[in-house]
Amino acid sequence: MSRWARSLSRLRRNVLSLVVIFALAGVVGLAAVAESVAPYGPFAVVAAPVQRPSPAHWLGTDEIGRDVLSRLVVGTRITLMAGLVATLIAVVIGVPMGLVSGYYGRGLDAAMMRITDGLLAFPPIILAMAMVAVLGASLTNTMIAIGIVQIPRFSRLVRAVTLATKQLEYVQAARALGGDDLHIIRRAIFPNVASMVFVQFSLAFATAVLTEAGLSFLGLGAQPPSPSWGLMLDLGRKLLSKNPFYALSAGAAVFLVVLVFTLLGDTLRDLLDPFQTTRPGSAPALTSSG
Amino acid sequence: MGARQLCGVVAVGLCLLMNPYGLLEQHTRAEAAPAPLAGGPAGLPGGQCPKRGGNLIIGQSGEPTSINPHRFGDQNARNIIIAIFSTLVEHDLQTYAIRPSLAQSWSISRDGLDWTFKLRANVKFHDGSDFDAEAAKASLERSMEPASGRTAPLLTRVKSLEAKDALTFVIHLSQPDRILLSTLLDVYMGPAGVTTERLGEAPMGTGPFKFVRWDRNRQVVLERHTNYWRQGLPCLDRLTFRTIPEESVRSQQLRSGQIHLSSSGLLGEMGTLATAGLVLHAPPRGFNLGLYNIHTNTRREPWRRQEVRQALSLALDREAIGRALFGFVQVLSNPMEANKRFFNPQAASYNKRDLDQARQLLAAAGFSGGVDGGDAIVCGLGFQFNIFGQLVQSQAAEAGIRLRLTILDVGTYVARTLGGRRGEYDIAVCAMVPKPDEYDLLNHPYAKLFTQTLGWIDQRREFYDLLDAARSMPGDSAYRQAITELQRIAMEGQAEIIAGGRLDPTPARAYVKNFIPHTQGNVFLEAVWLDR
Amino acid sequence: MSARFVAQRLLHGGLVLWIVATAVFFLFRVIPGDPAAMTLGFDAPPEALAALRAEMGLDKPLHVQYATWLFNLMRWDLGRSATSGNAPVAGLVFPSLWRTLELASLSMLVAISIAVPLGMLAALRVGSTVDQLARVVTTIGFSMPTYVLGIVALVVFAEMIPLLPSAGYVPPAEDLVLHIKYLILPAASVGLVMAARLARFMRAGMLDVLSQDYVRTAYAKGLPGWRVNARHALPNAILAFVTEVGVNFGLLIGGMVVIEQVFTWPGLGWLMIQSTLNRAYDVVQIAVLISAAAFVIVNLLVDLSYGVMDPRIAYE
Repeated sequence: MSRWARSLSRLRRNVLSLVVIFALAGVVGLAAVAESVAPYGPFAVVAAPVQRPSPAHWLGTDEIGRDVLSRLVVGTRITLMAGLVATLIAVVIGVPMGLVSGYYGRGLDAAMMRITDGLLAFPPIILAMAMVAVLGASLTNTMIAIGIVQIPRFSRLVRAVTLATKQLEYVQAARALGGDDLHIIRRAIFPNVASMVFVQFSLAFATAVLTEAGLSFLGLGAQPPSPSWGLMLDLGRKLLSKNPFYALSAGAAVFLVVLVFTLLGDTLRDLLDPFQTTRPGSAPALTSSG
Repeated sequence: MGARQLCGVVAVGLCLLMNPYGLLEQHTRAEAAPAPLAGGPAGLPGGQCPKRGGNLIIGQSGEPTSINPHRFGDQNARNIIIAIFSTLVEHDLQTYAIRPSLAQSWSISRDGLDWTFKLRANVKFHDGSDFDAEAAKASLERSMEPASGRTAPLLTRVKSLEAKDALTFVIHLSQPDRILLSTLLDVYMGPAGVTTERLGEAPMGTGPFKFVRWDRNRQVVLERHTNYWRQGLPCLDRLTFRTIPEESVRSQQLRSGQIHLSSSGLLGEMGTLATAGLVLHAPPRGFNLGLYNIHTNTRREPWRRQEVRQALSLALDREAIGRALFGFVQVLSNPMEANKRFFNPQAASYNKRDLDQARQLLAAAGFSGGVDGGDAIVCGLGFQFNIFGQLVQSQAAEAGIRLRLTILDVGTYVARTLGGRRGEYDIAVCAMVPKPDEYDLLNHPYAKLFTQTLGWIDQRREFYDLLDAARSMPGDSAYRQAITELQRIAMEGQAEIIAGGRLDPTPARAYVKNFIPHTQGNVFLEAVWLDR
Repeated sequence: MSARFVAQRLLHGGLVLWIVATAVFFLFRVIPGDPAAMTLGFDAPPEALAALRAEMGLDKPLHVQYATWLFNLMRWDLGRSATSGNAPVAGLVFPSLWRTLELASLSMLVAISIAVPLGMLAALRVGSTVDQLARVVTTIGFSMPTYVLGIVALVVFAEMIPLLPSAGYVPPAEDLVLHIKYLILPAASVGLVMAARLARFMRAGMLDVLSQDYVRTAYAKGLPGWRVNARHALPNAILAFVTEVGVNFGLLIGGMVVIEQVFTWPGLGWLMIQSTLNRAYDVVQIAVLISAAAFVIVNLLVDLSYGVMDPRIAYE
């Protein structure tokens, strides 16, 4: 049986994984059809501000009178897009960096490691704040900032895997025999790296969602009237006594999406790397949520 | 009528005859007030503190940037400065008439160019030295340094300063100036022989409280000046200004009694605070705490067109804005509505929303299908601005004006409206706090700092010329006519759109007595006492 | 572990710090908005701003400012903050650092005391209900944003059940009991989330070690379970765990920004945000540098201790 076929059969037996897959499909599906499902538009002022939940508005209204439920649903798309773009940026820059760093070693590696460590040492929120202040506060710029902050996660992991693979006998042999570098990277190293990256992708996605919410919460991310959950969390928190469902629903939404993607990461790891060759801590957990 | 009053009236009459440059109200007050008013600005029953002592803890929304009376940036700093320093003149907290403080009386020469101030005797600085004309002169000089942003631009007509004797201080002007007294409200009196920087590091004045220490990012502690010139004041022993940026935390601390008063708005929390038994102090009737405003960049399309600016002003639903801001907004579009005496009812009013007319105006300007209004930047001073900005965008859209909203931190907002990147905006949404006198209500929104921000001087130079000329107008009727005409032009042009007056109350514990909020948000504490 | 190795790590750390210092210096000079405007307020006219900027030394060319700053740094002169009434920067930054360290340490203590037993238990009973439950709980904790937990905690414990005072801070010298009370909620919020992360790691680490050959051999030899665990499994698991704790602690110093905001805990993160918003360059530069230094030092210690504890480690 091929590796994938083995993985799939393992999947079918693990109930938790199935639940996660369904939840993921649900979230993505909701994001896709958001506007059709939302009872009112996300930007339409439809009632008096800060109303508690009622039959017409299941989660009440927000600070200027828009329907909270509609905004929450449409916000799914923003959240998913933010997570996706930020993580893609991190992957597209981080993976090649790690490959080059690990494969070629020495001077190039040393320089890249310094930069990566510098990036890691810089407090992520401040880095994001500064970048946003320079580039302007918008969702796009926030995604770039978060992506950059996540680069070390991938470059370090890929570097570690590359280093390990490089030691293997057949790779050393290929190099000694004068094999083409690109060819070796593509055939020997990349397949190992790919499965690790997959696992990290969903974890990084989760972190990106958390960070975007955190940044919007601080006023640095998506701009009003965008229905970003982080923004809703921030404003809702100030109106907690008037309509607690405003903030709580946004917080719950962030939490659930992060949970789904974290579990997805666990599931992928169980599938692709059941012998735990990469421990959860091998790429340092970025505490950008805290 | 007794002999004394008769003499007073005669004196006033004579002075008025001989002295056309004095602003009416202030002048009368000055001549008729021979002794320091017991109880100062707030007034105490019987002129005595019913209870003495205590430490009043005030929660503020941020750390003051400095406590230098000539180099400060925000209200959090100002509240501390007014406790430490006094000024030559002050506001009556009920009527906002300007009345004597450190200057006991003043007289103006016939041509309006020489203002002679008789200073109060036996006023002591916190270190025991005397306040005299030399100190007044030094303080004016510090206020005129180019970096003293709050006062220097208004003191450009000062030609020279003279300390005639220990208690007589003269200001010589190059041109008559009706607003000199109003400007002197912000000139804080410190000792002579001290540089501005040194004064900022060790602030010392003649105010009711003296500086003890500043625990950075936590609090500033002041204690009672035992030799304060207002006998019997202050009632409190200590003041602690605590930095608590989070509104919900400030609200919780108020409710639990960890702080006794919040100097900055807690708009969203007012309901909770009222239920918890706190007193919400509102400014005196007819006055507000500043104006919600929208700058328009008249150098850019489409804001160059008067019809578009008027359309935006008409599209605003000021009542809905008021409701969304918890009812703490006064509906107005003319800043002068806050000053009944000089209000011009003939000037255009935009208090009532009119979407049809807004669309017609846009069509007249050639934008019948709607128009792209560009970037609307909002100052991130608090979540009420978040709400205000979103409402402006949503209401403008209903008339066909499309705007892109960005909430900026204060530094970037200032940079794009006043600083290095000035002019990088289409409309700018924020709030401003003019002084309550009729001149500043026009000067502050349109000129003073925002002349180049608005760019409207290119279109209506006559407004700015008239505003400048009004400052030296001799006759009261000519002045009044000028103010009336200025309103007409301003309301027609709508280069600065006023969306409402702020009525944010100041919440305080019930045992904080005799607190009267000020229309500029200043927190005066000398006559406040604690009933516990 | 050779002297060369130590020197190498030290040099690496120094270079990283230099990169961070340079980055923060130039990054903040590029942000729009200037310290003079923040000091004078947005009512100040351009001439006043220019005059104050000259007073603050901001009109000199950028490279001159950078060189001066770097040079002063070498001499351990951290400068004065023009935007905070010329107070010495060290006096602003170091007290904030101690406060953050205090909160971080307590949070870590809470986290470790929950994570270690939980992780070990889950690993030793792998596959059982206990393990499943632990996995679920830790995943939930791992996914919960700390600030959401913080807000909920504030609402529940300070408002609904007025057990603890709301957010704030009081120096221990002033009132020790109140100081501790203020510490509880933020430390718990951060600690619980951190515990979830560490517990997952502990479990995985234990599992990894338990499956190693030498441990299986010990079991096969018939040694009692606890002896195997204590002498063979635990030390290696602890090694990896300590690494993880160290790395997380280093990150915590700069990463507690949002929590400090929610609880108004005047630590380093809070100072960084306030200084960024106030464009207090002098303060923010030092604060970020200190945060980075903390991270670098912790990592250095972890690297060095790793080298000591396990001589098998081969370094490039």
